[in-house]
Amino acid sequence: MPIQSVPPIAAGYAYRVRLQVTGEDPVFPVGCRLRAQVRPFVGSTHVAGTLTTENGGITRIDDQTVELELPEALTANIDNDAAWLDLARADLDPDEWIPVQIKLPVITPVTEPEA
Amino acid sequence: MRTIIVDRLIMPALISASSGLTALLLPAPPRDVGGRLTIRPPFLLGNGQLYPPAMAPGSVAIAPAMLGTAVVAFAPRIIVAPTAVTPPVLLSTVALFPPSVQPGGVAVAPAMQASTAAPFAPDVRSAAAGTILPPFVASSGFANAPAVQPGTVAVQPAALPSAAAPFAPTIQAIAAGSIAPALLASSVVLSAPTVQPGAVSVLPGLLASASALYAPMVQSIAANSVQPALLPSAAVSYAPTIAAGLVTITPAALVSGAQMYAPMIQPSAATVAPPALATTASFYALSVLPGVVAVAPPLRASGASLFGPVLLPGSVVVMPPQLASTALTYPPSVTAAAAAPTALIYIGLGDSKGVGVNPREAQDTRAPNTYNARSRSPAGISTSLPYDQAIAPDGNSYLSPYEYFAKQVAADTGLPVIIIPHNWNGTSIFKPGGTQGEWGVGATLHESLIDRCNGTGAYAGAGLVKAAMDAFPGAAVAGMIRIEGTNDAGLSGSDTVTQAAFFNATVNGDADFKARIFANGVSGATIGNVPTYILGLLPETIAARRTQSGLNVELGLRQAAAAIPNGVFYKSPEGVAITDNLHETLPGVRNSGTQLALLRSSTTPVTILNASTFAVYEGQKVGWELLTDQYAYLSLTGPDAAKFMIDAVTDTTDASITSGRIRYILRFAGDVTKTYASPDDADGDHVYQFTINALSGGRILTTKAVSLSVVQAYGQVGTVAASAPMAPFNVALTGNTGRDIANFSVGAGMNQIVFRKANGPAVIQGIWIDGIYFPRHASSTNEFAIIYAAIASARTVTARIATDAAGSLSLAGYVETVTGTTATPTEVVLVPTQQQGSPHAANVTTPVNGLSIAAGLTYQASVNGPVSGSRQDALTNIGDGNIYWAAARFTAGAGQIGFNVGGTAYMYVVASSWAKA
Repeated sequence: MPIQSVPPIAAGYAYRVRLQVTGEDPVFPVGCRLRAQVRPFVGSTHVAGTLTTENGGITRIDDQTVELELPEALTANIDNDAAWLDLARADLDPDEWIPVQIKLPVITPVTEPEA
Repeated sequence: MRTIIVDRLIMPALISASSGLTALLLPAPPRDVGGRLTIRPPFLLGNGQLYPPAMAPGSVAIAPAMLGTAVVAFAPRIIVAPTAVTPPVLLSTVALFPPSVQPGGVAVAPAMQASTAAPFAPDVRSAAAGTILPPFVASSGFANAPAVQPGTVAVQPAALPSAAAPFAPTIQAIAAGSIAPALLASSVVLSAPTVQPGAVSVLPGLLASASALYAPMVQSIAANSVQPALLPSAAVSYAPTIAAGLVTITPAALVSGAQMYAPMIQPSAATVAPPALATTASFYALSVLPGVVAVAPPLRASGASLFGPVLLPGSVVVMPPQLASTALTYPPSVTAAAAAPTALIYIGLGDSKGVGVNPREAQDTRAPNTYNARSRSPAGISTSLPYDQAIAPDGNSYLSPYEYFAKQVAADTGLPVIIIPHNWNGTSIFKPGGTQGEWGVGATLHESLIDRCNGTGAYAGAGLVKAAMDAFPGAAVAGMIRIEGTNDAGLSGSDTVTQAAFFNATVNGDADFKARIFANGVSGATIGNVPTYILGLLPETIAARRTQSGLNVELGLRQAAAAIPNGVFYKSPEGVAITDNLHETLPGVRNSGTQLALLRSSTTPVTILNASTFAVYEGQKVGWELLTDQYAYLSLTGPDAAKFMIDAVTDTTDASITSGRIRYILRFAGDVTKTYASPDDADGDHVYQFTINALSGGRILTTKAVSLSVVQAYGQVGTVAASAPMAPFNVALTGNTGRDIANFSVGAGMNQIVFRKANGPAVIQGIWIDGIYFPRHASSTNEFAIIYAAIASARTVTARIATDAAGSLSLAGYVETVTGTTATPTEVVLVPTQQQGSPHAANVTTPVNGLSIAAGLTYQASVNGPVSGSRQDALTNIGDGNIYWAAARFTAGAGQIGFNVGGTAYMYVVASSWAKA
């Protein structure tokens, strides 16, 4: 499983990262609607939050790239030292899961965000 | 000093990807202060794309670039500018997106294009006068016609060579438009225009073979005619989409090999006559959204394929096509519909009234095709055929509305109808956890019916539903029937029966029953949302038991019918003599089962007869009867709905009905009155707005928006001086604090205060005296006399006058002069609707003939006697000829009123309290 070093998610702070997925066909075609749930671990019943193209959590950049934005409330709700997420196409019927799964590191910051 | 270099904290992230995908996480670039993604225009090389800027109002001249091969240029968006746009000259394979032009006088000269170029026509809005010359498109080019918004626009379609594809313009809200589609060569695809409200005539093009016509979408059109194209073989026609309007569609005759997609019709009354289809033609039938639609599928020749309509919830009649040999039929996809049953099973709730008792009536004829698995004892429940054949088989005269329901359904459907009844003795009202009184009985019988239907418990192996389905292969459970003996429904003893309790018990019982009988698969049936037919309670019985259970039990039952999925309610008949209020078997009751069955297929919407506006005066209560032309469940919605309540009351005013008719009266919530100075309607404008929702038997909803205005009243304060009985007294206006004190004055006569309106446009609608409202009599001429008797001491009278217009009230003082001899007072006896002889002699403090005066109610009594003395003058000066008498002013033994009445008049007595002597 590929490992890549990235800045960790600071719990309680917003976090943005871009995900580039390449394949034969555009993974994120124009007009696609995407949905991603964030959980503390695979199989957890706890959903820290849901990112969608509608709520601004997912922004399509191009056919291979999306930008994920985890708002403060979501990162504060992860309750683990890692956050798992993957994406699904919501514009297809039935929804189509995109076979990419990511575990992002989560760190508990010393300094809490201002209320 | 040491220098510590701190690297940016990074940590490992795991990425797993499959299916040939490679994933990589990238840092997200910073965003601008507004949180927007930053766009950095690219440096354009070959195959680049250029997005020109959007330009704000101003005079703009754009000199487009010459673009090379494979370049895509997106033209600028121009807002409100007199602009000339000269699109670039395009070379082959170039794609040009013309400008989006907003209001203004714009001339767009499309580009000359080479083959395979695709120009997108401009979007033109609100153009006073625009001329659009579509480009000449070479073969295989794609022309996108302009979207044209309100205005007068002439669109000159292009002549297209073969293989060119024009997209017809989208036209919105055009007063009168004429669209002449292009003449299309073979293999051309024409998308017809989308037309929004307006009168539009669409004449489709003549299409060559293999053309495809997309018919227009027509919305909200008052009257329209759509004439689809004549299609040669292999042409594909997409019928129009029609929303909300009266539209007649005459589909084209299709030749062999043609395909037609039928229109999609939204709620309205539409008739679609499908085309006659030749061999191998394909007809895609309608998608029918909720509404009442009759679809007659086409007559089809051999080899034709028919795709049946997709039906969404609604009342739809589909007449299947006549199919020739070898034809393929694709049955319609109908929501919640299964194969047509061969017999119908109804499960009855409601005990002995449903089971029925003696006696037979002449109308109780034997009904073929109906069966009742009933018995009045558990051991006698039939579990296999032959069941009792419902309705008066020899030797069995247990008759009920169930049988009449079954009889009507069998007659309507031609199918056998099997009734599985409930038990006997007691209520069937199921209250989860009910362990005492009738609740306990209801819970026991509820479980008993489940056992009998499922073949569980005491009825193990003898499930009636399964037995019925074994006896009638293909039978389906078609619904449940709840017919309750009113006396059972009233409950008794320690049970707490409220409207809410009754409602909850009925709804929860229905849901529990359906879930437990049909979820276990015993019958092989699924019940889904099969209807529950509920018969109301007998109004006379309710009235008789009102002190125990209250009228609201009936209201709770009606609310339950509205809350249960596919619940249907029918009221019980009025005027049924009650000798047995458990079974209510006398003529009329059984027929209500017939009425309930007729509601199965009722498609007639209810009409709400009430006016859409009415008014009351501040300080006045509302008592507005809600009237519909057929029985309906009534509810209120809207911004001020919470300010009202619907109160079920027993009619005691209609002499033609001996007792018990239930009327639905709209009142302010809590039966309060409103004060003009402190409105509590949603927008504070004194106009209470709400919608009456009437749900009739077939669950057809009718709504009516209603507004109730609270009208301002005007007031002043006056003091009535002390006076001995039968002597004139004076009225002095003191404490003139009312804002409209200048608008009227009062006069005084003997024992009376007279309000008179001398002139002015306002109409006196009524008067409050010390909070008691005297409405204007129909014959009133804007005068009111308030008669006081035995005013023992000076007192303050607060009078408020209601008018129909603010600020225009003018009342002239009225001074009554009493002359002549004060004769011995004539005493008037209050006897409703009776005339008294002459002279009248009785004591009002001793009501006779059973007259009972209750606080706060208005009574009417006729008084008649000879004219005598000058007091006739005093009375004839009363504007409407009537006497208004505030009985609250009387005290025991002193309540004599002395006057003679010239002719017949009415006396209104308002008693705030009454002490019987």
